[in-house]
Amino acid sequence: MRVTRTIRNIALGLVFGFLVAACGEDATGEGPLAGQEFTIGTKGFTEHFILAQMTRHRLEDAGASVDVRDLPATAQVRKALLNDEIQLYWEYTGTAWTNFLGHDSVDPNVDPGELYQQVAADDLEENGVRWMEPATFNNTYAIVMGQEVAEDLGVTTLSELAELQQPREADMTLCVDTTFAEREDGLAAVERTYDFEWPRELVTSMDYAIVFASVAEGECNFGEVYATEPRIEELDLVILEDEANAFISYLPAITMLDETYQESGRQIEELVAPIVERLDTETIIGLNARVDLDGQRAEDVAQDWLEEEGLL
Amino acid sequence: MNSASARAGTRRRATAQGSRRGGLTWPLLVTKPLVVGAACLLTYLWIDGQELGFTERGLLNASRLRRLTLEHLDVALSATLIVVATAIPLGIVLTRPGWRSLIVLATIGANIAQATTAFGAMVLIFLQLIESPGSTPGGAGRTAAILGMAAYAFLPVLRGTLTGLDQVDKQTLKAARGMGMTGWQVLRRVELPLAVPIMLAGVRTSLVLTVATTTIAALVGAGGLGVLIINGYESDRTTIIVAGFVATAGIAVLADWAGAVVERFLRPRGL
Repeated sequence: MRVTRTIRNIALGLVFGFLVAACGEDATGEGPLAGQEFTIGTKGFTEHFILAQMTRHRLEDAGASVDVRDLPATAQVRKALLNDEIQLYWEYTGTAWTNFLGHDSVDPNVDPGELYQQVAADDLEENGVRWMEPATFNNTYAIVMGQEVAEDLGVTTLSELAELQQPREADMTLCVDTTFAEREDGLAAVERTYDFEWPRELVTSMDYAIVFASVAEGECNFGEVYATEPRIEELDLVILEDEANAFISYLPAITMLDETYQESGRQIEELVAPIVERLDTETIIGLNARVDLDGQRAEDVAQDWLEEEGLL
Repeated sequence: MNSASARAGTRRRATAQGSRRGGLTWPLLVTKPLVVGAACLLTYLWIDGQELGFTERGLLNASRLRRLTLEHLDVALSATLIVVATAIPLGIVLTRPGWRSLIVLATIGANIAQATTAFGAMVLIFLQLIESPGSTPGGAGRTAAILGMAAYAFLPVLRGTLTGLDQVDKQTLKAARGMGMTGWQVLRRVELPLAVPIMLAGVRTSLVLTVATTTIAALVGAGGLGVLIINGYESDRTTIIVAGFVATAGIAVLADWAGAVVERFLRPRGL
């Protein structure tokens, strides 16, 4: 008796298993992208993980089978895209302008939207890379300082900081990530735009992860951070206003090879449009905070948010 | 019986006269520096023939390279100095009667320090330094890098000291005691001279390890040649990566070479 029951249970399990599997198959097998395969690249930081995971969910929802591949940094992701090892990834306009299109700086009068238009046109023409509509948040660089420093030195903008150099040079200690002081669009852009030289012996380059602690604990009076970073608010840091636009704008948009775009670009564009529309500065800072401050996984944060917004 | 101290004495005289130099054949002495020199020259010529971008111009010029090299040597040599000043005395103490039971503990500690990623250790020390009340701002990166590297490179020197002292012939020690030498005299005039080769091998290992690994000091604000490797990688410029690699490897090879030369001169006669 017992044996028969066990067999029957196994059989039932098998039947249900197949049913579930069949349903699952259904869910990913139909839709505008049915049967298509994509690999999305990431550049190894929180915001980029979140963007990639959101995209993955939307494409999978439309029937595609999607892989996310984590790569170390911009150079490697871009190379993978050009070799068609990955089919799409989120790139920032400022990065493309300086790194891929060979420009040193940008006219301060060019607004972020115009820079996007320029990048999208040039990258397509020169490298065959398509740019989709950008989200509206601008993940550019920012120079921050602690509240105490702000009160002590009485500066609020980068041009005031430039003038500070004569009387209070020794106070201009600056902690930056490992590349900021070496990049043309980094510290050099600030110096060029505001016409001063940041004394190099006061600039300390370090891993980005410890820049925040260094500024918060006073190891440096100033620090270089990314503008969509939730720790700015968390640690009560003040952003020095970049009133002359020394920093290029960095709007994120999905990029893909023109061949990929011809095949399925329109569908992908439609699928991600609701994400792109909703991602403003405040939203992305909030999402970054869920990962960097609350310790959630980027994958979960992306899924939760899509569900909250009714996009999944 | 008398031979041990006599041997040590002759060694010192012999070294002073420079007669040991004969043991170092010329080809052996010049090969490594020549190879390093050639590698640097080739790298220079290769880079010199290229059109350089902004980041490359900023990093690959004489004054910047000199500064990065000095920062690198500063961290690596300071760390090695700390290791020599702490691991050798510790090794000596641990081999004295009554302390031997602690050898296992100390070796485990040194093993853990080496097995832990040096970067992690540096970051922890760095955060500790900047968070400690009353710390003066600035320079925490250099201190963290030196201490992190010192912890990382502690084991080879400790082990070299322990092994070096342990392998000294017990009969020789007995003879020295029999002559009426005190424990201190035995240590200074018999044990240490006979342990020197193995101890120096440990120091040499530690030095090479430190010079090569100090590249990560760039991640805690201590600069050094790691700046080249990191920036070359991130900006995807092979020129910068190759320059960083050749410079780091070159210094490591030269450090090893210097260690070999010193070893030859400090080695007691007859070994």
